[in-house]
Formats: sequence, structure tokens, C-alpha cells
Amino acid sequence: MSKSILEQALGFDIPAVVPVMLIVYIVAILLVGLWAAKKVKNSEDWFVGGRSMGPWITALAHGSSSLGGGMYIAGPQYGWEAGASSLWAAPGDVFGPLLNFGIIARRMRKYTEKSRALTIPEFFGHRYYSRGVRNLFVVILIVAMIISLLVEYMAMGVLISCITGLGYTLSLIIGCVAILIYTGAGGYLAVAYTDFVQSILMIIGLIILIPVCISSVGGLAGMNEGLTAINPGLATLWGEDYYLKGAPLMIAGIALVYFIGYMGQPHLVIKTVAIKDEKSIKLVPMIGACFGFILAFGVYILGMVGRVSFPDMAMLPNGSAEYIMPMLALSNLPPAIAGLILAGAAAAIMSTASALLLVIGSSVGNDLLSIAKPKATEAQKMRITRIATYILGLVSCAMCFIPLFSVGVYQLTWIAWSVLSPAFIPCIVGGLFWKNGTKGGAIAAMIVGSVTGFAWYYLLQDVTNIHTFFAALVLAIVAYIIGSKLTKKPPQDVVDMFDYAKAFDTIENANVPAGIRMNAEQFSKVSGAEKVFA
Amino acid sequence: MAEIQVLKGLRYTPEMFLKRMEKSKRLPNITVRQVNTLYSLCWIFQFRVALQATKKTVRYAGYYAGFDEVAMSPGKLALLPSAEPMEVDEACILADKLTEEQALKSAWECNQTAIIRKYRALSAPPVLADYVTERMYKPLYLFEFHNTELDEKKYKALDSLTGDLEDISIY
Repeated sequence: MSKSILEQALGFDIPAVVPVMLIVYIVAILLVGLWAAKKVKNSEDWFVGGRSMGPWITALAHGSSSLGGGMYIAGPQYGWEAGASSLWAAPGDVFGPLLNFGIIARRMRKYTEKSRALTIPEFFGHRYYSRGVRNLFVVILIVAMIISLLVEYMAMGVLISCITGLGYTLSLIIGCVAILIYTGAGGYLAVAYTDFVQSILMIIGLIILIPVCISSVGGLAGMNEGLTAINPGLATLWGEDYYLKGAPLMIAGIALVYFIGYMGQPHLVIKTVAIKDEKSIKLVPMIGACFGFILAFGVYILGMVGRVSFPDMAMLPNGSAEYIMPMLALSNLPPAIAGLILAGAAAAIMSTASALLLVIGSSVGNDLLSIAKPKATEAQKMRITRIATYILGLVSCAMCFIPLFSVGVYQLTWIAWSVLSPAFIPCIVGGLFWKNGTKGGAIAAMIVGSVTGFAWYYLLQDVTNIHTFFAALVLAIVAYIIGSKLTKKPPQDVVDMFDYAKAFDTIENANVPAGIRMNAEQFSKVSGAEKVFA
Repeated sequence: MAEIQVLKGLRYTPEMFLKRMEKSKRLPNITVRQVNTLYSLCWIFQFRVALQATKKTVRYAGYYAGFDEVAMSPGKLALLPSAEPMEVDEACILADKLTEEQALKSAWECNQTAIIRKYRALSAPPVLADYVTERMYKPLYLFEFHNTELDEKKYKALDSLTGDLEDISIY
């Protein structure tokens, strides 16, 4: 087998144990997914895991789905390119789960349970009482989600090819097929269980890698000195050549893209639909925030360490910082542990890709099929959904080779988030919290948000110094409000459902344990006992 | 001594429990006796609820609700329970766990949810227009379980409302 580009850049051969661990890991995940597939009894199991997911599985699945390949490959890449200014994006991954589960989860779960909605498009269809809104949602969702899926496939291709020395194309296909098999077979249950396993591996991997890498460059002080020596701006929050100075709206966009962007990502919002009960909702934000804290800050710091260790672009394979995380792992850790960490990276990518694939497949099977064939049986829906999952998975794999999408993992991640989140955030949040949100408003927000999200990045971001996400979100919110004000109010059914979901908002049980409680003095008085055994 | 309102017509009595224990052959070394009666607070609420039947029409309905401080759970009541005044030793009255406001909030939310589920066509969520609060106490019969073999004593309380044998946590 020829030397991989990573081996050429590192100057040594990758030990055989590393690819072996990766392959063992992929096989293990496939087995977990296929085991979960046996539990699928009906469409509710497939789409939302029978609405029975506990807080730990939900929180970790939410975390690993959001911080996927985009994070493991693109995070260090962004850290390498932007230095300490990349940390603007990190708090978003901590607060994202807090907002998702702290604000919208309770109402979303209640609303979807009552209206019998299994997918986010179904929620849109009901809340905005319009098949048109549902269809528009599905179209935007499929386009943007496929872009997101490309990111994950590309990241998987990068990872497998650089570790095994296989060609990029073959690596990409191997990764794609593995993800397709378990997602198609097990649906939400498979995704949630494999995400749970994968998230544990992700945490272990980063907890080992981060301190070792930081100490390899002389600790945090050494890292700062190294960054300053390369470019004084890199060690500051203003970025290389202080490019963020005087650009507050750019900073706002970088911070907000993940901070509130989570609320507009259907593959993450669906986790709020699948959660078991009200009690579980309370635990999830804290678990998710801790998970996000470790991962988000970790990956950007890794990128910064990578910049100090490999300061010149010529030192990187293909001149791309996408490979920085595997390079750091292989050059700083024993092969077996490096293999484990790279398996963790594969875990991150696979979990996100499977979550995206699930949402795309269910949008086609459950939502588009209901238009083409309204009287389809549950079995037909399931079959079409599975087929759609496989077909769209393969189509998106093929799309990775189209030059338009070859801008790199990190750029594609931001495009996908900037298209999806601004289009959907006003509709999801407004739909749950503003009674007067109408279908006119939803259509306006989706069109304005997605078009601005796509066009601004290419045409106006550099000219205006305003971040795409920020611009698209503000315009989409304005469009939602104006559109809603100008159109007829929602029908009574929808308002009733809104009130029903809202009625559960204020439940806060006093934190007092059940049972009989008394102090020792009172107890000995009433029982006459001298010694207390109770 | 303090005068409290004690719930009447409760299903479970200490005699029933003692009889059952006598019949049991599984615990030959354990003797059971009632040593005292404790009293735990049950909040009883009478609600006057405004139901928005249509945009312009409001109708009023009455509901009863309660909050049991042993189970720490709110509940709906079909009928208003009766109680009688009784003088009891202050040591036998368990301390309040909740304020009236907390109990009211919890009981009302439980009732509101039930009303929303029952009347799906209401124009707006039901509103609590007025309420009356009563503090009634339910008896908990304190039993001593004596293991004659080990000469060890343990205490549990029989809930007169639910029939559950509750542990006692000492702080």
C-alpha cells in the first residue's frame, strides 16, 4: 500500500494498530446499530425511538450529533487558522443544549405528542396549518441537510484515507456504507444508542489528547508564545492580523451561529420530541452543557496547539489544516491510544452523519410520501423511508465529488448552519412562543433566511464585515414578524394546541422529598424509643 | 396540645394492619404494636374556575383538589372530604413541607392540565378565579416492629389514606 499523505507529512509510518482499531470500531458500531434495529417495532420507534429516550442517552446523542465531523475535523482546522479568536464560537456549544432543552423542549414535546407529529416537518405542518409550509420546510431541509451530510462524509473520507492510506474516494465510500447500513436498519433507536457509545469515546479521546498536546508545546504559556511568534493577533481574541477588531457583527455571528443555531437544526430539535418525559428534560441541558464544554473548547485549543506544532501550511498534507487533529494524535501519543482517539473522531462523524441521514430519510418517507400517497400504511411509510435513506445517502456521497462543494469541511459546515438555522429558528421558536405566528410569516422567514444564508456568504460577508448567520437570522426574524402581522391569525385548533403546550411551562415542583420526615427529638417523643433504628 | 382538623372516613385502620400481621407466618420473631398516631397535612382546595367557552362567553365551574404532603403529590378530588376537630399532642403533628402558595400552585396546575385535556375546544386556558383553602390532617399510625431474636426495634407508619407502610426518615 502506498504511503498516505499523512505519513508523508509526518515523516513516519502509521503503526498498523491504528487502522486496525478504526476498523474494529466501525464494525462494533455497526453491530450496536443492528442490535438496536431489532427493537424497532413501529414507525414511532423508527422516527422518535418510541418517545422513550432517557436524559443521558438524549443529552449525549444531542451532543455527539451536534459536535460531529464538523467539530472534530473542522474545529481544529478553524483553531489552526483563526488562533484564539476561534474561541468565540466555543461558548455556543455549551449554551446551545441549554437553550434547546431549557427553552423549547418542554413545549415541543407536549405539542408534538398531542398533535401526533413524529417529525419536525409534521410539527410545521400542524403549527402553521399548511401543507405548503410543510413542503417548503422539507425542501429547504433536504437541501441544507445534504450539504451538512457532505461535510460529514468528507470528514470521514479524510480520516479513513489519512489513516489507512486508502484512496480518498474509496475511504469516503467505506464510511458512507457503514453509516448507511446502521441508520437505515435501526432508525432513531440505532442512532441514539450508537451516539451514546460514540459520545463516551469522544470524551475519553479528548480528555487524553488535550493535556498531552498542550504540554508538548510547553503548556498554555508556551502555546501563547508560539502563537504570538507566528502572528501577534493569533494569541488574541481578534484573530490573525487583528481582523476581528472593529467587526462586532462578525463576532456576533461567530458566537451566535452555535449559540442559538442549535434551535434551528431539525436533527437536534427532533431529540426534544423523542425524550421520555418532563423529568428527563430538566437533566439534559446540564449534561449537554458539560459535554459541550469539554468538546468545544477542546477542539479549538487543539487547533491552536497544532498551529504552534505545525506552523507552516507546507507542513500540512495537501496544505490543509483538516488533518491537524490526526497529526497531533499520531505525533504525541502511543499508537494504541492514538488509534482510540481517531476512532473517537470517526465516532463523532458517524453519529452526526447518521442523525442527519435519519432526518432526511424521515422527511422523504413520512412527509413527502404523505403528499404523494396520503393513505399509505405504516409499513409502506417505513419501507419508503428506509429506501429514501439509502438512496439519499448514496446521492450525497456522489455529490462530494462535485467541485462546487469542494470548498472544505469547515466552510461547508458554516454554510449549512447559516442556511438552516436562520430559516428555521424564527419558525420553531416563534411557533412555540408567539401565538400570532402565521403560515405567511413562516413562509417569509424560511425563504428570506435560507436565501440570505446562502447568498450572503458568497456575496456580502467580506464586503459588509457582517457575519452571514447574523444577517440571515435578523432578516428572517423581521420577515417572520412582518409576514405574520400581514396575514390572517392562526385557526382556533392551533391556538388551543399552543395554549396546551404553554400550560405546562410553569410546572415547578417544590424540591421537597416525599415520605415522613421528622427530627430525632420529635421521633423519640412520639415513639418512646431511646435508640433510633428507623 | 393543639386542635387540628382530622380527616374522617378513612379506609385503613391500625386494627386491620395488626390483624394482617397476626395472620402472617413469615415473621415469627417479630412483634408489632401501635405506639402512637402521627398527623400529616393534606391541603384541600375548593377552586372556582373560569372556562373560556367561546371568545365572548366565560363559564364558571367548581373543582376540588388536594395536596398530600406524605406522597408530595397533587390530586383531584371528586367530593369535598369531611373532617372533625381533634386535640392532639403537638409532637405528633408533622411539620409542614410546603407553603400554601406552593401547594396551591401544584394542585392548580394538576387541575388545569386535567381541564385542558377534558375540554379541548376551550378558547383559552382555564383561569383560577377564586379558591378556598382548608388544612386537614390525615392520621398515620406509628407501629413498632420488635425483633425479639435480635432485640432490635424499627418503626414504620401506616398511611390511613393509601394503606402504604411508610419509612420514617430522621434528620
